[in-house]
Amino acid sequence: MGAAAGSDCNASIKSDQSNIHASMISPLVAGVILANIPRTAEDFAVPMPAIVFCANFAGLSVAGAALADPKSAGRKNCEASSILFSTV
Amino acid sequence: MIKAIQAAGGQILQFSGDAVTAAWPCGKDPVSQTIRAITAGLALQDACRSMTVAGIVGLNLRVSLTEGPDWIAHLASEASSPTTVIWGKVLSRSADRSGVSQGVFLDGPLRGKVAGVLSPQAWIAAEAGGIRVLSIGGITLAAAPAPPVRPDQAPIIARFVPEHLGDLLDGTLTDWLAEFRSSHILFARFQGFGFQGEGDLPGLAVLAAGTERAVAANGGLRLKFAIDDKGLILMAAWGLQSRSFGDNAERSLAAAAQVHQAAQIAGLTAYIGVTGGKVFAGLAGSGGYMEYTVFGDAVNRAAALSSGAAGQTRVDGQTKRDGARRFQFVEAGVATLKGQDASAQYIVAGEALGQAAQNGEMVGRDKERASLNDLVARPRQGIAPGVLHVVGEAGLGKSRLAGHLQSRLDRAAIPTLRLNADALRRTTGFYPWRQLVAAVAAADIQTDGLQALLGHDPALSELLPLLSPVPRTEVPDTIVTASLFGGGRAEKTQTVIIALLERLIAPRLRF
Repeated sequence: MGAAAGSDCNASIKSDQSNIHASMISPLVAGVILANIPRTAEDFAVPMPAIVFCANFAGLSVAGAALADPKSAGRKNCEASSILFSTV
Repeated sequence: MIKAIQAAGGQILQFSGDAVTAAWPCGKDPVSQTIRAITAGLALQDACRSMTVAGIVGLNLRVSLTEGPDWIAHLASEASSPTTVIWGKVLSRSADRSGVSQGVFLDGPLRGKVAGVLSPQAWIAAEAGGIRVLSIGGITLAAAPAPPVRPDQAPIIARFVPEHLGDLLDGTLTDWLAEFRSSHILFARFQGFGFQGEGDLPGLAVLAAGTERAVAANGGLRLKFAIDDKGLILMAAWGLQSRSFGDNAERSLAAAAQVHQAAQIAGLTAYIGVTGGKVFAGLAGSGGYMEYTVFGDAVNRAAALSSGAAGQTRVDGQTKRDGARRFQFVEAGVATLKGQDASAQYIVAGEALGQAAQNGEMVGRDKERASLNDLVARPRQGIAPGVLHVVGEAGLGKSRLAGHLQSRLDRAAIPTLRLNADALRRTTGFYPWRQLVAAVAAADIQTDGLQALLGHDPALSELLPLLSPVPRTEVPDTIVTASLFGGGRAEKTQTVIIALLERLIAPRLRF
């Protein structure tokens, strides 16, 4: 019984590790890899028609600088600018 | 953001600094997918306005959409580990440059497809180069989230994680990867490369492999080789876990020189910035997608310095100071970056003088060097070499002594193996052994290889499952190993690991 419990534990740890590793690959790329397993030792390219969505935060680096050092240029910029943040 | 995008049918492609790129694969129905993406973008903007950052309420999110096609290029022939690049001109032009963080911007071609099908209640503003959708007007389209990777598929996908990153993830608790570290960052852009399909694969493969070698040969960690709003970029770091040395700056500058060479071979021009400073390193993302990456002023500074460095390596003041022993620099004016104090920048002018000093004989430490020389001489005298510990405070020259030992071992033609171990990795069983086995094995040893090396010995054959934590393979428990626990299991594991190393190393020894 103890052996079985130990094996289950090891299997669980390995499964968690695999999940963490797999999450480091974009799901879209993972799908391409799984669909092309026989070709993965060679170079290949597949077209991926898609609507591409780009979201970028305005002023995040300035906010980070302000957060790390209240006396930094980032804080000054942050306080001086009404574009970077709004309370709308 | 990841959950919201996935729930709306999108799939995360990558993070780029403070940007997230996602894709809604569209096939024959780009209109419906565009509307789903618009809906997700507007919902995220609403959510961000209630967020608090640095004590200020309201975080603004700029969102833009454009249509591919994109390419996914898988590179395996030249690289030591497969690399995948998501390619498309749209990735480099999709960032919304307008500065407006209300509504979702659609570029011209997408406007032509979608504008006519939006409801009269939609609130749309014309804008240079496209339209801005401020409200979708009550349209709701059901979205099917992309199926996640199944548990049985996860181990297959895990094999495509770069080895150094896999080691890092295996080597410590993932929470402990989040830390501030003094690092040097190399950020390179490559101009002049377009990817139209499989015909462009060889050029891309050469560049990917060349840059990978440049970073790896100098002990760095390649964090990104991808397309983002700055074009094709490479980002690498020195000073992160398992990749920290006493000469991080010199290593990053040496790598930069080799990246320039790799770019030239591929017919491209590299623009490189190298900076030093404290960065946050850790896992970004959650749930279905994460990246191990770095954030901080040094990262932003390296990216900014690279933009004006056609065929050059530009560095900040810290990198100039840290690399002055080996490299020469010329002043290149003042860099002014958003959110940072203005700072001087320099251009790398050469490295020949410092290289000679680096390779010169060590001065002083006579007693310690004698101990090391004695250690190296023992095997040829038939004396067991033993163990030698070099212990000292940071900066006292431990790495220089280790370099001296390495040079003596090289001179004596004694093979060497290096491994990293630190307090954090005490939580991972057999972690140092894993590095040793990986270093001496030509490739990942699979079960067949283990059987070939150890299977002829019945005593070892039945212990093979104990090797599972060391090479990346899974050997089912035997009756014997299933009954082993605690100290007894550890002792037997050590026995079989040593036997494996003996069989791997013995053919290489020439005493």
